[in-house]
Amino acid sequence: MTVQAAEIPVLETKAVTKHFGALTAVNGVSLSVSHGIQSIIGPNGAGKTTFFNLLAGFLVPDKGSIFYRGKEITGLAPYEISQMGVGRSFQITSIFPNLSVFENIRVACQSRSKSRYNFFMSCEKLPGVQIAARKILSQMGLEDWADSPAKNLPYGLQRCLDIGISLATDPQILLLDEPTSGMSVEDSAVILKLIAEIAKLMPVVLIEHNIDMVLTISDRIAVLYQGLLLAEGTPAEIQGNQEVQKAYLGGY
Amino acid sequence: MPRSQLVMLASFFALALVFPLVAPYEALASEILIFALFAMSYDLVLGYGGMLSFGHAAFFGIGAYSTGIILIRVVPSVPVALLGAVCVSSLAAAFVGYASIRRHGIYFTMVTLAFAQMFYFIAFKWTSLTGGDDGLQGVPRPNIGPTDIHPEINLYYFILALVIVSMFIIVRVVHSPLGTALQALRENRNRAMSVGYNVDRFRLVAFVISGCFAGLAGGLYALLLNMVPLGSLHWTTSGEVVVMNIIGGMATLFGPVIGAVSIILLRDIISNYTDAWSLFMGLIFMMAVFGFRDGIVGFFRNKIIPRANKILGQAFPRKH
Repeated sequence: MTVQAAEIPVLETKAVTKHFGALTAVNGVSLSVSHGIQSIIGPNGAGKTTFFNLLAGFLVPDKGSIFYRGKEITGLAPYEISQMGVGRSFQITSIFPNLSVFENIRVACQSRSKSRYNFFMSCEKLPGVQIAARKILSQMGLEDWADSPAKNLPYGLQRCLDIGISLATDPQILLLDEPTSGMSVEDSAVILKLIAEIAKLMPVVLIEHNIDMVLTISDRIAVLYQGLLLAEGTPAEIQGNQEVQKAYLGGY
Repeated sequence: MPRSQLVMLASFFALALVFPLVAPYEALASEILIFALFAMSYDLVLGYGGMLSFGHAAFFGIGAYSTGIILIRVVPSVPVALLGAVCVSSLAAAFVGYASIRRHGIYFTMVTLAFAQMFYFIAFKWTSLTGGDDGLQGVPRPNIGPTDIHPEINLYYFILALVIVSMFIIVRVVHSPLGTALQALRENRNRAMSVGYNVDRFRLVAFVISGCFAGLAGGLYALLLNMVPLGSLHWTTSGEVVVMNIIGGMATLFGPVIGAVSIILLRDIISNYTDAWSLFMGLIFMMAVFGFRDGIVGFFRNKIIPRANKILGQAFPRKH
């Protein structure tokens, strides 16, 4: 895939570095994402989640810059980055446990409403929010659970809800942090299908441990190792890369 | 606005209309209304916002002093005085909120307590304006239009009208976009940020709305007592409103109201027999914390209604 010079990547980092004390968690990583599924793999502690937190504004890089559609977003607050169109899910399921499943999605849709600070109108009267939330709910196959508290959902569905909450913000790009972690093989397959669907609509950045899965669904793969970007390329290129083999795949 | 809470509001109104007939005395009934409003306004911060403010007496007290000072020194008009009280206490809440909202957990609690203590000592030392330790004496009760509010029963119904309107607004706030976002960020702060909510701003707006109604409650308190006791700013008043919320049941709106009614009634009854009523209050609080964690409302919702349903065969169907 050749990137035309005129094309502005949706998300781009330039030599991003983050230290935690003496540890350099992310070390001069430059990566750009335009379309399809961009996976990030690497052994535990490689800096994948830290990199994600930098992209989403939960951490501020010590060096380097991050661009969203050519606009610098380094140092912006997570809510500002989200409002621009970057959606994310979390490695550890992150939902609103005591709110109903429907309300979880609805409140995420509502964050795009101009009236989100209104404190007197009924939230049910927000134009479009109710409908958008129902749509996402059925897309995620969660209609039957709409009125249950989110904490009562089975684990696999909680992971779905997590992604649904991110989708509800109508993102332009989606960051998914190990969406299948802790899931059964069958449940993982459902999520995978969902991710493939989403990737038709927007670029997806995916952190994943399951190598088989990554090699199958990714358009491009970036390998992080001890904070460094070891390699970046198509699944075939990554599979054939000697360094990656040594560091991570173990002669896979 | 869900029907259940409209029903609660209507029932509260109906009971409050006839309450003076059964209350030990009318001024007590008024005091109960005032603290019911104060407790409900605090529920926005504690129950819905998940912020343990330990300085809410500041806004109650500031509302009370503002009302008193306006009535004595500026203009003897109750609407002007109460409006002034609401404005001043909202401003104070904006100021305290702005300085404290970025802190979380125990640090937030400590900052709010520190500000409340600051206001307490200002009132304590600025004797020429506030009357210091003796409190602000001689707050008048000028007529409101043609209505004479000197008779306690007239004042009671005036207070009731304002309290009901305020409660209606607070219930609406909870079900507004802002109120629902507030609950989401209480549930999961990181998640709320990552879907695009400016968490601190929502917390601040809720804090100011709460301070506004706490100030109104304080203003009504000044009218009721014909004075402002320095104790209205004391940290024990902050503690009391926390206890009312916990005993009644946080994040239920009418739980704190029930908490306020029970505590003030009980205090009045017990203090007829012994000066050590605060000992009994302590025991009741301990029972609430150990026995029914979700307060009186939670106790009914989680224990009594499900059990009754079993016996009566789902006579009271319950939605999630």
